Amino acid sequence: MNQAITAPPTVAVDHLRLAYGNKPVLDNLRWQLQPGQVVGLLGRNGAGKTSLLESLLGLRDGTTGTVRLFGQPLDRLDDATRARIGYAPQHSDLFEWMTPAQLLAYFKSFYPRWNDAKVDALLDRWAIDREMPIGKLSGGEQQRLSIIRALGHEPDLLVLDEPVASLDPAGRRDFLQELVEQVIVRGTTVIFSTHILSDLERVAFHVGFLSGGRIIVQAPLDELMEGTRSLVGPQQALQQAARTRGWQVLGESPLADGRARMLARAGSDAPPSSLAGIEVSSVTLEDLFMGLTR
Amino acid sequence: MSAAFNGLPQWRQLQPVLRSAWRALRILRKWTTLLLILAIGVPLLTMTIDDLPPQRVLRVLAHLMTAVALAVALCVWTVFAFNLLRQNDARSAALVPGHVRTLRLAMVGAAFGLAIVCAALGLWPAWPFVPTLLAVMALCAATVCAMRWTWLWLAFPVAIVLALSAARAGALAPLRWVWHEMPLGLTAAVLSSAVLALRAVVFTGHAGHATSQGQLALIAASYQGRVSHARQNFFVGFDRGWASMTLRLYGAWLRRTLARPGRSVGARLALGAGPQAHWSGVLSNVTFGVALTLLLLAVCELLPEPTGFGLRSGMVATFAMVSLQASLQIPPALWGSRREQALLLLLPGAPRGAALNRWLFVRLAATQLASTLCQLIAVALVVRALDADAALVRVATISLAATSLTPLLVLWLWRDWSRAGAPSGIPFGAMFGAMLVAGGLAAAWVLWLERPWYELLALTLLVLAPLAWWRWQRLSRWPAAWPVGRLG
Amino acid sequence: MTTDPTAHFSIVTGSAEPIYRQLAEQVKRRIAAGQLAPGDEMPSVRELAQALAVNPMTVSKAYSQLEAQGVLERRRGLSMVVAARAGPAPRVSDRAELLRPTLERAAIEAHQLGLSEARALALFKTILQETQPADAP
Repeated sequence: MNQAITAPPTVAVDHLRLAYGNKPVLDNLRWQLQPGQVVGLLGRNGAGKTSLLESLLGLRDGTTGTVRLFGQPLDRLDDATRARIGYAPQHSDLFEWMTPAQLLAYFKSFYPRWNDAKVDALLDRWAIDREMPIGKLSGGEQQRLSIIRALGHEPDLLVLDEPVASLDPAGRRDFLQELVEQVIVRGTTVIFSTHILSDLERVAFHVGFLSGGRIIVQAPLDELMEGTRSLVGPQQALQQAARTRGWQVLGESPLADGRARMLARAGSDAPPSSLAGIEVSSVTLEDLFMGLTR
Repeated sequence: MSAAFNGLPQWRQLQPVLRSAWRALRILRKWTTLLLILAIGVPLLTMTIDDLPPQRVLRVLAHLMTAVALAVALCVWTVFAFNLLRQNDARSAALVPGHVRTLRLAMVGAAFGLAIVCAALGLWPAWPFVPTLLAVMALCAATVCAMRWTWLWLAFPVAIVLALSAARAGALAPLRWVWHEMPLGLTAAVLSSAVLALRAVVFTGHAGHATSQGQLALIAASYQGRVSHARQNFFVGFDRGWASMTLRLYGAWLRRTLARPGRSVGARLALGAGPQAHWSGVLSNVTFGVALTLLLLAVCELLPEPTGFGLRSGMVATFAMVSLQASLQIPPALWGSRREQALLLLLPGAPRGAALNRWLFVRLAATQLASTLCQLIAVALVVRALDADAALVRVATISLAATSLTPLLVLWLWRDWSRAGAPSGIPFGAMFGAMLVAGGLAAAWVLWLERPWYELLALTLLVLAPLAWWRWQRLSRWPAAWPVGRLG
Repeated sequence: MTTDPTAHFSIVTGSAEPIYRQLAEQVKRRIAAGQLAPGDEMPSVRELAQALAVNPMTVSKAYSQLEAQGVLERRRGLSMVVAARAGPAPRVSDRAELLRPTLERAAIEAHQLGLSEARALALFKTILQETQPADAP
């Protein structure tokens, strides 16, 4: 099972900085994704998720730092590599003068590999009128079309920016199933940012939290949820406990009655289920989101 | 709150309505650039063309300046009324108590105030007070109605031209009689219809309300650079038909390009920026302008002679403006499709960096030069077709000379697109000024220097070549043009 | 039986329990309740992942954990099957063990409410009597 040649990380970001005027959006960000990882990117509104995803693909000016996709630097991506990248941006109302048929034929002409059967099947399954101008489709249909366009050439790296924002629960379920069936099973690396935590829990194996311009935590979601506990108690006692047990403090916030809530992640040993004078409870993804992002 | 139901809106409610309309008047700066040019240019032109005895000059000047001031006032009114109408959205009309009443009062009050100011201004060149007031009120009402029912923009110029011809032909006599016999009656009639019209444009949430507001939003968005690729329905029907023809031409070219094996990436990429940025859309719009001008030319043929000739010359001169279409249309189209450009850059085969700039600039130059060529051909053909007397031929030659100067616009199109901001109204004003300058230069070339127009074309191309070469050298140091203005 | 083998599985998002753990617990409960007999074939990783719209790696983690605990076993080259059990006797303690997570949560709440041990137990006894199904042994 030893491979003499290991594949380079699909995405390798180092010292990425982006600022609008004086306001830093991404601050010395480091990130790495291995082939086949499915990562959910979580962050508050305005934390810079879209900026990060756009910087990854070289669509933003004013970024310093290195980004390598499939081992190649961004400004020297060759055509073969570009054919392995799929991107569904947040604004899905693009090419609104074309019809879906025209749009897909247009994109097909650029890529060496295009799965006609899958594209047709998806258009039928999601009931998108092929001959109506995209500008006249509803928001959900536009978003679905954007996803079909990103999947059509069977990319190895799929970047999705809030792909399900306009979809109803049935549409989201459908999309997730499609993602699992066609994309994840083939070993595609997927990055997607979303606010819908339930979708992320189902489909993402890894999760990354973007806060303060950095990826502050990236870990497999299961491990993170199992290893983290929410502790409520007097602030001194909490810090004491964390120090003595060597926990990683993920977040701390004061409560109204003088106590504090701390999110702490235990190392390799199992976290306790109870401590003297401190309320210990397990965390849901929502607790992690609220506690880790600012 | 109970005061809102007492009939007349309080000042408290009027104030925010007026304030927000006034704040949005900031785009007025761009209008004043345009009108300053008019204000200086028109009197100068008039004074150089006719020699008048000195004591008449002052009176003529008084008339002209007041007319220009009135035009400025009406432009201010247009913007103000537009912003008031934008506040009249269907939901506020239905849900906010007293909103419609407040808007109506603001509309009528502002129009009346403006009319009084204009009539007071008119006292300088000794214009009668009340007729001026009535005329301004009528114009205000007409402008606002044309904003709501956009087909009126076509009807009004025709009506004005007919009225002018009728005035020339002495048809104003009945109107004067009515004014002498029943001044109060006429005043009351005009004022009440103006007030009714001003009130009627503030909708109360009926079926067509939302569509109308959507149209206004499209117009506002185009002024702020957020163009959508659906062309605005300024002229319902005719324009929409032409827009769909443009789209069909674009679609046919798209099909053809995709069907050919060994197709070039550049041709496909250019299609991705949308029909308005593609040569098919540009040339289609140039043809649209030519067709419209020809239509108006045909209408002018029907008019009595002095007016008819003046208007015909004006139409032929307008041809020179049509080829500006390319340069005016491309920047907002490129800005509007910047998100699509971001996606296009990810496609295999898309050029990047300096190669992208080179590719784009070649296309822009080709489009501009092609539309100039179309223009020259169109004018030449038109002059052939009309029974060209010497005067018309002279006007046509000036128009051809002015068109010959348009290749210089290539330099304006060859710029650092990565730093472009949202298109604003300034280019329109600057274009108008440039047009006047070009027209003046062309007129000087033909009338004063008495040289043929194709020599001007040759001279333009000679001047263009080294400048273009210099720009070409610089473009490799500019950042990549796409996505235009970046996505921020 | 031609029913869909994945039909009885469901997951709940937004809970503190990771999905792979929910799946593993469900398998154990179904085995304990007799719905899955030893030798029954489990749905493949891919099948189950597609049916629930869940990452296949999560399903495979659940299966691996169950395999490590001896609940499932892997047949050569084929999908997982329920492992053979020693006998009915260990079943009771296994089943009792399955109740642990729920009881842990109840215990934490009891402590938070400040109830004494005797009080909590008395309450649990009352509830057991109230909710006893008619045909229970």
